[in-house]
Amino acid sequence: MSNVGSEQWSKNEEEMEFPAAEVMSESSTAAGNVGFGENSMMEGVEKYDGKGDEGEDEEDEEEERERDQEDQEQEEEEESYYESGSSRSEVETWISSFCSIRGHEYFAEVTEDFIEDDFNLTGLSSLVPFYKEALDMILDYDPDPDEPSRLPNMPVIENSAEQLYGLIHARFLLTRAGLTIMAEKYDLQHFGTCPRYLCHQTPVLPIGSSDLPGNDTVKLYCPSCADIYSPIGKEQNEVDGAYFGTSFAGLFLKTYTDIPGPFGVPSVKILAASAPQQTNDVATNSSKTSAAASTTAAGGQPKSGGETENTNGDGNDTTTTASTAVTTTTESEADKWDIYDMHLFGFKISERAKSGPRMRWLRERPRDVSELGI
Amino acid sequence: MDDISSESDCTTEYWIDWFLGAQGNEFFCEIDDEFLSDRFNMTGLNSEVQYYQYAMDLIMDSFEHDCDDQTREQIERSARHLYGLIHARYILTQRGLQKMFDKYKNGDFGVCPRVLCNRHPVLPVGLSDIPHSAPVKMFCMKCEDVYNPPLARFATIDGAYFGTSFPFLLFQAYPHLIPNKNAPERFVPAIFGFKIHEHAKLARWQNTRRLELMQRLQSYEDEENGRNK
Repeated sequence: MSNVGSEQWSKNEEEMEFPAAEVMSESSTAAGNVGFGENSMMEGVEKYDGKGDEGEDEEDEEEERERDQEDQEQEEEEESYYESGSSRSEVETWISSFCSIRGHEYFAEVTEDFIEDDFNLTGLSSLVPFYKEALDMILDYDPDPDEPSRLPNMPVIENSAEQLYGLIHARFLLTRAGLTIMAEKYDLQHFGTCPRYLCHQTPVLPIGSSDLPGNDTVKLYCPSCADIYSPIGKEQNEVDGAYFGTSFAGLFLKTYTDIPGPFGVPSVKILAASAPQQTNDVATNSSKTSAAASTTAAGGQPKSGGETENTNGDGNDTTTTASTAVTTTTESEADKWDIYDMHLFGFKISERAKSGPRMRWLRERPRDVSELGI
Repeated sequence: MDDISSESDCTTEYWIDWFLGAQGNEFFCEIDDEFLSDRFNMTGLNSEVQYYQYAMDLIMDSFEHDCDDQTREQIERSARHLYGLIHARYILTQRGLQKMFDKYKNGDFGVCPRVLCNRHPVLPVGLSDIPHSAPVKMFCMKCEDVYNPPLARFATIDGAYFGTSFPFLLFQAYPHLIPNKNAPERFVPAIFGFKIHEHAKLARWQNTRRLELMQRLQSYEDEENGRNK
């Protein structure tokens, strides 16, 4: 299984053509003109030495303006699409437009064959109101013009379509195709990175706390510290967790075993370019392994003998160039895990103190993975 | 950039008020004039900050020198840096702690991103007391861990403006702020409802570590009680 996983992984690195990314770049170029003015405005605000309230108001206005602009851009895009459909090589489907909405960055584009297979949709009709209409909307089927429209207003169906798409999405993620797409997104850090400082920007995975919609919003699972976090963005915090499901993150990590986990696999640290000396050391270290120019493979020193090869599963390897010295290293003393110690004037706070450490166990790992008996 | 607005500001309002209101400076509290005017509190800072005296004058709103824009900008920057360094010292005093306590209670520093901390409020902390080494981080007393601040504008604030000791001194001074950690939750990923073997094992291992800690704490307590008797 792991073999297949890494094969896919390397394949992903080679061809990075990802539809959502395409859409994103497209919209950003469309935003080019307006965006420029916006940037200079931003600078203006930062430099503006106004009073607090004013500053905040400005900020709010700024955000509103941004949003308005984006809406406008979207409208413009749509208009231009309707006006000159031939100019665009690809027709924008409901799915791709849904995935490009702000806040929907975590979503993968479900393939149409998956949705068209009724078996994959078993049981969803009872969960989603206006199931049939919603499905037609997702698949961009035009409603029958002869049939009198006894449909309720569009927003209701739009809502159902979103819910239906989310639930299909959760199922799709568990298929091989879904995992592959998500691997690409993981590689590009579409889900963001772990907010924990000592996780050193480990990319995270979306996870739901329930498989039923309406229970909880989406959370982010960090493979390095094995903990869940709330997304930073306001929009992402409104996405339902059931659209990703409880099983996806676990299955993903089981499929792509080269992603560094919290176990005996050496913790992979990303050193910023700010430490040139260390980087040199690292370079000599990793030169033992076949370090390609673009991919710095962190040669694993399997303490447990479990893994024989550890390629760095972080999204960084795709973006690394020779100039940006983002290098990875295996921690030579792999038994030393990064735990934050509380210090008062340089002295560690004792366990005996009332304010002493009580949560170290949460980040502790066994020195030797065999202690776990895995 | 700064020269026009701050020049006019200098005449209309206090420099500190302007500084605290500026975007990205939400974590700072106001330093008392009393603390600022005591030279003893500034020991050693004049070697750290360029144009120390001018910067100090600017902070105290007594800057009345003529200088070109470039120098003025330089002094502005020095003043901000100096304020940060004094701030790190001030928040370790009783009044400073009180002010930061109020801000903490208000939730001015944000909440912990960890889901199982249930939006527990966090405190700013530095990873080093030496300036220009690392930006400010957020410390959560519930999980006792440090996190990157969520907004990009805080990523440029020097951690030395808060210092490495501040949160812990605050919890020494206000022990009632320490959250209850007796019933901790642990997240274990599952596939189709079944916990992943290794993760479940790790969670159990960590739980035994926790129980060991609890036992140690109990023995400390017994020791203490025995001594008191």
